[in-house]
Amino acid sequence: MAASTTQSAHAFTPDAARALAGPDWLADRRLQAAERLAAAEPPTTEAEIWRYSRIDEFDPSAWRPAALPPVGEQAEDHAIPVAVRSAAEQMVQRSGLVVAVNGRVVHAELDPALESKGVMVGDAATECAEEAREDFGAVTDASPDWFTDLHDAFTPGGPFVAVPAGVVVDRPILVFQFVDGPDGSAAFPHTLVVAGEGSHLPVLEHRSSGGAGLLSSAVAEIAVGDNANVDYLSVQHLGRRTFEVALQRAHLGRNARLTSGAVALGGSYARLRSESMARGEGSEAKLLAVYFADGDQMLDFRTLQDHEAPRSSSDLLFKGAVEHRAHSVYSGLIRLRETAQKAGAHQTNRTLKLSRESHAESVPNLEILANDVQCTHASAIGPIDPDELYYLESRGIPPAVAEQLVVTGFFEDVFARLPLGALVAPLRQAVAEKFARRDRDVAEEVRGA
Amino acid sequence: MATSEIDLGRYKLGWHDTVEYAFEPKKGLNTEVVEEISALKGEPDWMRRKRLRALEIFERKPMKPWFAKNMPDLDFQDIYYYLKPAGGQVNDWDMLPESVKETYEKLGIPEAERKFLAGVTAQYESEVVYHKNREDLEGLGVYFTDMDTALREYPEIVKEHFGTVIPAGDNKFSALNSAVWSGGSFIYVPEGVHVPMPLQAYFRINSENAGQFERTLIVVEEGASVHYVEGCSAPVYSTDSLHSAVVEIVAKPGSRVQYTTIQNWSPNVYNLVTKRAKAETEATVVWIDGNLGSKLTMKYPSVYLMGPKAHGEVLSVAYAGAGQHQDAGAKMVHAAPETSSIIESKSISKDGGETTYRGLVRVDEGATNVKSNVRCDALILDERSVSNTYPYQEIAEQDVRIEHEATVSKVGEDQLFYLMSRGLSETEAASMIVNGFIEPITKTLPMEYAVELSRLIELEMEGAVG
Repeated sequence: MAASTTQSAHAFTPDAARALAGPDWLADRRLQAAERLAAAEPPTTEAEIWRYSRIDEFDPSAWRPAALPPVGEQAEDHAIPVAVRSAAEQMVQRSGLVVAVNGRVVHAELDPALESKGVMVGDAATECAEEAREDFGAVTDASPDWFTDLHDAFTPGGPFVAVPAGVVVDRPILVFQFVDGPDGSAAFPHTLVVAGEGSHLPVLEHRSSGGAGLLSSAVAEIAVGDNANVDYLSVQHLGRRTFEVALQRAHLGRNARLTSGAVALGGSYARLRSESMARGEGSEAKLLAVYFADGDQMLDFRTLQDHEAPRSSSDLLFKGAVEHRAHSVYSGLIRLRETAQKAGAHQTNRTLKLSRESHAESVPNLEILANDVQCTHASAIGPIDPDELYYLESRGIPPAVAEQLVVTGFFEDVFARLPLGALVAPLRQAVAEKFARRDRDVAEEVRGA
Repeated sequence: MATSEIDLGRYKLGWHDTVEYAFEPKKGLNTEVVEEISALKGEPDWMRRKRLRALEIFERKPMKPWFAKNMPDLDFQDIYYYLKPAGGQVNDWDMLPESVKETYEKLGIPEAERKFLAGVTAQYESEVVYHKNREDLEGLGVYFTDMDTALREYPEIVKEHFGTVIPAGDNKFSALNSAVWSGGSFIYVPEGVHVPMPLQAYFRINSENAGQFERTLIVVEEGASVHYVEGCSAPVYSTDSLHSAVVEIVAKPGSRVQYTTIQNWSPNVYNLVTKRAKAETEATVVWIDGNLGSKLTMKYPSVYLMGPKAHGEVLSVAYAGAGQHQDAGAKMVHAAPETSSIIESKSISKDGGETTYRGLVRVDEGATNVKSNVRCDALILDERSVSNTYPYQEIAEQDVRIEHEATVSKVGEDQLFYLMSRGLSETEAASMIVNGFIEPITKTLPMEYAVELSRLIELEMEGAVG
């Protein structure tokens, strides 16, 4: 690899990072990241963590930072993209709403009752700059890679949701991250969620994008304080030509609870690193995901259940399906450190292969450095169970309906456990629709568009 | 390496003998060494050229980073690549030089023979020193000899298969072995012949800084079957030895091959072995792999399931004590329809030892109706020990069933309590539980190996609890 040419060939230079608006602490942070980036090589599939990925198709020189909405005055309602507006309108049961375009907040609203209790929603670079300063990067800095450096060098700031100690938010706060622009635009959505000690916070993070060839380098950080309880549902509904590399990482304090659900449907190549770190004794993480890839899509998950605290537990269940020539990757690691005695960690991945040409990889890894632990993992890849089909068909159910029932049933145990149950129905529907479209190869439509 | 980490007291095969070598040994590796090995053996020219080509590959090929990580202090130039004991190969035990005989008496080789085991080969450093084949096997047309003899006596079989399952360029260590190999077993079983008793070999490294690079080739013709068993040991020195073998198995249609290894190298041996079988239509290959010794073992026996209905199994037990890392696993490549595989791995780590299961199940395009089941269980016996599991699954076909399960735990307190309430000491109870844990593997071994494995585990378990 010719180091000198690739390092200077892309638009993500320290000078470009310097040009972005924001408070000094954010500008310093960007510059440091841009300098790290300038000295680093983009990853290749040679590196173990990028094995099976489509990173070799990624050419940094093909991208430039996307145009940002104006800073300062909050954008008027008409700046909210139509797709976001219609999705948000369906979710009336909410206590707050933040909309960001290309990573910059254009709209924020919050139930006044919560506002008076000190709950905050807004942009980490502008109206919440002072409050966000301490927490920004505190979680995700622990897990850097080339893309987090890229993200940190160019993120405009982004949605900030904070709940003070002891406050209970009963209805979810919605965070919409929308990425748009002409072909070759790269956006850096950042979501920062901070739940204070003993608080309760339900959040929906919805990521979507336009139809052009876009790059989303997203980061979501979730700080769950001692005794706090966070429900976090992330929905990835990106355009079919969006290339996404995302990191979601949570830190759990003493006796903290996190239920995190990821539903992945869109993107051309969409990679999510989903990480949880048990820092406090007795913390408990439930990590769930549903994914469905069709056409030429590739959905790529790298999970980490990291335990440093004793008596902490984590339980992961990721279920997915691959159709047409689509490709899914699940690579997960449970790491129980020396200090994580009496911890329990479990990990299950199941993938349904719905076509001959689809690919699935599953690598559930364990690194166990403590002895008094309970740890299991399981993974299975296979077609729709012919016995189940036979059972249904023998009761007079037509084959197509029987298949639909089996696939729905396959995902149902995850859907039933997802956080924010009230918001899950449309997701269940979206998966069913993807399956119902199996005769139409979506890739053709994408290419035609 | 820090020898203080190594528990010398436990390794019961750790003596070494003073031996005369027939050939002035030199450290390091270059073209001259390879030429010299080939000339001393009086090999045909095609083998000499194969060796030299392999040496080029070895020098050029980088070590994979995940591989290199485990052996930062391995110096390829500080190793004797070829050591030839005085005296040639004999088939009468009493004709062996006294020192070599003593070594093997301690290892119990003639004893094994007295038990009417099918055939026995013993390799000392680089050369096979003793070989005895049972006459009734010769009558069946079974060839069981060392590789050097096979190259002289059955050159057409060796030439046809040598390096076809594991080419020199497969990895850095297969290239190394292909350049400097010496000794190893050769087995040929003709069509339809079932070898009634296990064939056995013992390998021993005696010198400090020695490398042992045996090369084993097993060819089993259509409908035939054989079970091969090998054991290994070495003395304890303060510096490291390298064992880097290549084992190739060709299992023709409808054949069955079982390959059993009880690896008990001393805790200063790097054991870096490439083992691979090609299973043709309806053939079955079973690897049984016990890893108890060595400082570092990296070994992933594999089966390439090339013909329909071929079946592969890897059953393995790994034990890592102080200063040891057992990085073992299995690889199953399903390249044909209706192939099936089973991997069962049991690992135990204790006194700061580290066990790693690293495996791959791959299903290629066109390999429909494939089944694979992988199960890995690990026991961690104290808080300093480590267990890792890295199971890869790559699936390109739809109609496949791939399952993987793993558990990691400690010895159950309720199990200990139950046994101790019946009057067993804590150590007895723990070693009984550990023996129960590995029982699915031990029951597949020939009796004397099963007993030996259980005894070794009991020995290692002393002082395991409390």
